[in-house]
Amino acid sequence: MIEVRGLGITLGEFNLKDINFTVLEQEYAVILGPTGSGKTVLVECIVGLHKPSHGSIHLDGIDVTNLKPEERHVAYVPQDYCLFPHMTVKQNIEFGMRRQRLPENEINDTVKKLTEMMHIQGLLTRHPLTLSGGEKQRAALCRALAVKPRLLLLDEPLAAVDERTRELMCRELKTVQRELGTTTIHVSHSFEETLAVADKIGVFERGQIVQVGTPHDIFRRPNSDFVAGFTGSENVFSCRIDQNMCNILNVSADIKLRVDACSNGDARVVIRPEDIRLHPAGTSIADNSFTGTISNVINKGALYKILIQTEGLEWSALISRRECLDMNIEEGMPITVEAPVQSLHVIGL
Amino acid sequence: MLEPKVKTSRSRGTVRDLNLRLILSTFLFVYVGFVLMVFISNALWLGRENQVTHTRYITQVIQDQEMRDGLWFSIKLSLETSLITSVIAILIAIPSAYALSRYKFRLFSFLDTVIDLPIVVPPLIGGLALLIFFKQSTIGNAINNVVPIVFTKTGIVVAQFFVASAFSIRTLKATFDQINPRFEAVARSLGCTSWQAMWRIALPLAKNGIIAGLVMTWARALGEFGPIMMLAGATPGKTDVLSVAAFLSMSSGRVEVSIAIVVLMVLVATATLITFKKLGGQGYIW
Repeated sequence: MIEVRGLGITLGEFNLKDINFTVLEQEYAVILGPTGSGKTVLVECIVGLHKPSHGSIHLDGIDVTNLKPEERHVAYVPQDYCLFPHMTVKQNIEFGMRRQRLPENEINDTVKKLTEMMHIQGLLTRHPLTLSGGEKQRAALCRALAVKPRLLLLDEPLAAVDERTRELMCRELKTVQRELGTTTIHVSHSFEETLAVADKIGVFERGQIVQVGTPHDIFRRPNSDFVAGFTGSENVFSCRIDQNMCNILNVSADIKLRVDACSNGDARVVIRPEDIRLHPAGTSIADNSFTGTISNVINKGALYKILIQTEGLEWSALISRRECLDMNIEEGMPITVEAPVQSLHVIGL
Repeated sequence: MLEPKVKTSRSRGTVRDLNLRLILSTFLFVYVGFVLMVFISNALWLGRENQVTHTRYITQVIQDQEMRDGLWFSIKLSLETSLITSVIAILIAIPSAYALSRYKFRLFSFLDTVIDLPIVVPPLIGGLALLIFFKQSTIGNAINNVVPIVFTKTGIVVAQFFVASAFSIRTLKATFDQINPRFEAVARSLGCTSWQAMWRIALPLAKNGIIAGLVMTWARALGEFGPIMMLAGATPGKTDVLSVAAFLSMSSGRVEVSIAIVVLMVLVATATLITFKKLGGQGYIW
């Protein structure tokens, strides 16, 4: 278990402020935030490469804030993996265990077990420079896991591998983590990757953790425009809430949405693009239905993103290619948008 | 008819590019040609026949007992002193360069400037300063009384060391700068102490750079002249390393010995540079 309490540090242009979070034993936590928000600095603080100016880091109940990196039992896989180029893959994986002076048969057993788990048993005699991105990643992960760390830190582990490998690696990361039960903090800027692996997510914005929660919380109940936007909820509208009716502000006509909100006042209403239903124009009589025009159809591969204008309000909807073909969707055609009440989320009340 | 027009303007551009390339390369080739011509003419001169004795100059140098012995002594002295200097310089440079590359110093630019000083100060002036230090200052004089330096073989090593170690530190710092400190960070997260991280990660990764630095330092020590003249003097058969011997034989009219040394030194320098570049050596100012 790791607890970060009120951590603060200023390093160059990065400024981390009052960071608090807890990752439980065997939990897989993801710190999600845009590039350049200081996530790596946070990771390096936990590894012990920088001394924070405020706050403390506790690992399994022990204050490690002032311990050296080698005393913390925190294994670390940096973004560029940093496999030692002058050693073979096997020597890389053994490196930490040799420093612990473990008996030879234990070292061999661990290497065998981990490399089989990560499917790299055939690469043991190779040098890191000859490996592909995915292979390097696996080797670096084996090296980190070999020392049986109290905490595993992965800094953007999937940023440098191609799309297909990324999906596969996400599944493997999760499986290996489950199997070994290693408490893990994974830093990422991709919410798709995060959804695939996380038990818990901390959203990071400009040196601060702005929301901590389960994937469901973060994606369905963002607590700020930033979190909503960063996790792909493109429909964030300013509104005034009055008796469970939400009046959208800054639009030409009166647009009212029925919401479940416990109080009244100015707020923002959020709906994820994949939660929006589209109907042929004028056929929906459900609550929160509005008819407008399709302004843009964007092909995203398996999905299509449809932008719809209703009275000056722009909705973004994600639908499957099948649906798109069935409804004959094309730019300029009229369409009815339905925002189901249970999918609406209100921020800032 | 738009198309032909476009084509003409493109080809005119290409011609202009070629002209620029031609003009700029001319400067380059004139200089390279000049350098090559200078060294090759020296080599050719050695092959010429002496009009008086009707022997080739190179044969003369080899056959004349006195010339041969003098030259052989200088070669041995040069090799001995430059090797000792290189080893000492590199041993001092490894920790210094690592520290300079990895740690933040409050007086970084001051340290950096001081390191370059022996390289930038005119060699003769550096030598003069060394001589005055070991002769006139209290500390220097005390050292000189325990280990005689002025006008001795030890003086040659000190004079070479003064400049050569600055080169070592420069080349090694460039080497360590190229090694991502994250390698050491990862090693430490795997349980290495900072000492082990340097020993097992940074130094092995710097191996080629260290050898390259050693070679360059050695070449520099071998070619040192000004400071040696000042500090160790130019006593034939005692402190006349190759460069000093070239100067002495030139002033005493034995041109063939000087030119033999020139050719020898140019060959050594060429071999040094090839080795240095093969090993990927970096960061040189000379």
